[in-house]
Amino acid sequence: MTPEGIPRPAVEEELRSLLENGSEAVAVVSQPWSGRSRLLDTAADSFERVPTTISLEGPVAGSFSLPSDGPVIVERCQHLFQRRIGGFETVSALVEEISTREEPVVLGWNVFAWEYLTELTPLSNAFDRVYMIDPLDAEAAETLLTETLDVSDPENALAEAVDTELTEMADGERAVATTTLESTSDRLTRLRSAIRNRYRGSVVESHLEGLVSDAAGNPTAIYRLFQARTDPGIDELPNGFDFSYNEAYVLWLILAAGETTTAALRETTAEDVSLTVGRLERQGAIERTGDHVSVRPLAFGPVHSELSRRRLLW
Amino acid sequence: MVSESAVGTVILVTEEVDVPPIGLDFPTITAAVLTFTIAYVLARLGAVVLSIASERTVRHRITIKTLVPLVRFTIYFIAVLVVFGLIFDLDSTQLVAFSGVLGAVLGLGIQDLFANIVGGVVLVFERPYHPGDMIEFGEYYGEVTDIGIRSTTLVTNDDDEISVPNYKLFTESLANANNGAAELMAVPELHLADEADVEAATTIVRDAMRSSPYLYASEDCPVVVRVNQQPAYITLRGRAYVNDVRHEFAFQSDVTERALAAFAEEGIETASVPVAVSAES
Repeated sequence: MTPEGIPRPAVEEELRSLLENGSEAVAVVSQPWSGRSRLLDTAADSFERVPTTISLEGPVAGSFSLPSDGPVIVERCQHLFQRRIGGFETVSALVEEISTREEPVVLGWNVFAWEYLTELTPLSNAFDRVYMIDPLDAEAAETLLTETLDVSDPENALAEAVDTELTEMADGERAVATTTLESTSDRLTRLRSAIRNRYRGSVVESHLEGLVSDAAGNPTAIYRLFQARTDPGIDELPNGFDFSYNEAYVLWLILAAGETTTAALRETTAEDVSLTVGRLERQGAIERTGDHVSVRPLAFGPVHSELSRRRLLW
Repeated sequence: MVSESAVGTVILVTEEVDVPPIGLDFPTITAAVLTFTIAYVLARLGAVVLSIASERTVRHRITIKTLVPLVRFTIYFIAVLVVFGLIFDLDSTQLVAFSGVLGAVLGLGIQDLFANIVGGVVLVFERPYHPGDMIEFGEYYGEVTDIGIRSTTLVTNDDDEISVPNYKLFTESLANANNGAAELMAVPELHLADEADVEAATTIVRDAMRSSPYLYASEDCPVVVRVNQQPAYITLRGRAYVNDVRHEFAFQSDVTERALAAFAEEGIETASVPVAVSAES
């Protein structure tokens, strides 16, 4: 199962019902890594005619217009704007087009781009209905984990993982003392992991609450975080960031795009961002696949906190 | 008892009053010095801890910094009470007599210092500005970094540290740009030639503001561009809020720099504003 494919039946049913009730223009808004693509795929069944589906994979250069005939679903609409001079024209044109359109249209948006645009443009006025996909709470996360991972008791599974890791740390230290085979960096990594888990075990009352908090309620991040924590020896969580304001701003651009390219970031900021992207990657905030960059699901919570602390989210 | 001075022009009339016993022996003086030293260290320590804590957040920075002068005044006030308690054993009559003497001394000798201290106390309780606010005080504009017992410290845009006596609060007007809020209105201004394409230029300035990294995006704080026709040129005044008072000038520079580059790209002519006209505006 792909992370984007984690099912959320209740949400799917709610959206389907909304579309079947005849809403003409619907915005579906969620955090990145929340399974919105899958949701829009299932929404396609709600129309009498087969809709045209468009998924924007990167920043849209030049004009963009919707197919004139039949229902349309457009995913990743955050790529319709770029935060620079002249970068809002496509969105403005789209708003006008939607307001005069008579065929149903469903547009999927990243919540961070959506909130930014609705504060500064009349974007939300173009839609009959804005459907916000709520982040998961602990109870829903437990249900999701139980259903998708076949884990009957996630709390216990996490607690066992912590015990295993602490035991491994003790073994590792003995190994260093006796054979000096383990490198210093490995020891530090292990120690950091153990301390974090010990902290989590003693301070955070519920492991699951901590899991949901670290993933900022993002279902895909919860899924991957759970997998990482229940797999002894894996420690992929960033341990706090040290960013300049400009680096945090580039991080916001990546978060608001969901996934983007260094070329698009360069165009938006009018600066060479390769050093910034490298630094964000080294600190574990983003991951890079070829030229594409996105926020690491495991770092979602810390990234969210860091940007809120700097008032880059509102 | 009546006495006459040596030159016979001043007559001093004194009555016998109970002079409060003053315990100015060595242990008392040592204790007083120690008390003030501890108060000084505690006040400095409190200020440092609160300043460090405040810098860890933008949203609550000003609130936390507001506590610094309060903590400092409280500590010094307690220290003064303790020292008075050590030196004097005052009943109410003695307190009145002592206050009169103290008032005369303060009135004649250190009235400016006393006015500053009173000004500092008023500042703490009335709070016309807080540490972290951007204020215009007389000819200076800058961020309030400290409200001391005697003076308020501002750091200007040029990184000059200005110490303004607290008593000036009573005599000079004060403009507070953000009054405790983290966000602040910034007003970048650009000048166009008379024949320039104003509509295109307005769109560029609006885009430059709403795409700035420093913008505080909110429906309550709209991004606005105002066009003013001047005798020989056109002024575009942008109005938007920055997400941190410290970003005011960075925002203005960012918007101006990118807007001018876009003007050049689009062939929009800017105005060469004569110095005299610029000074008048």
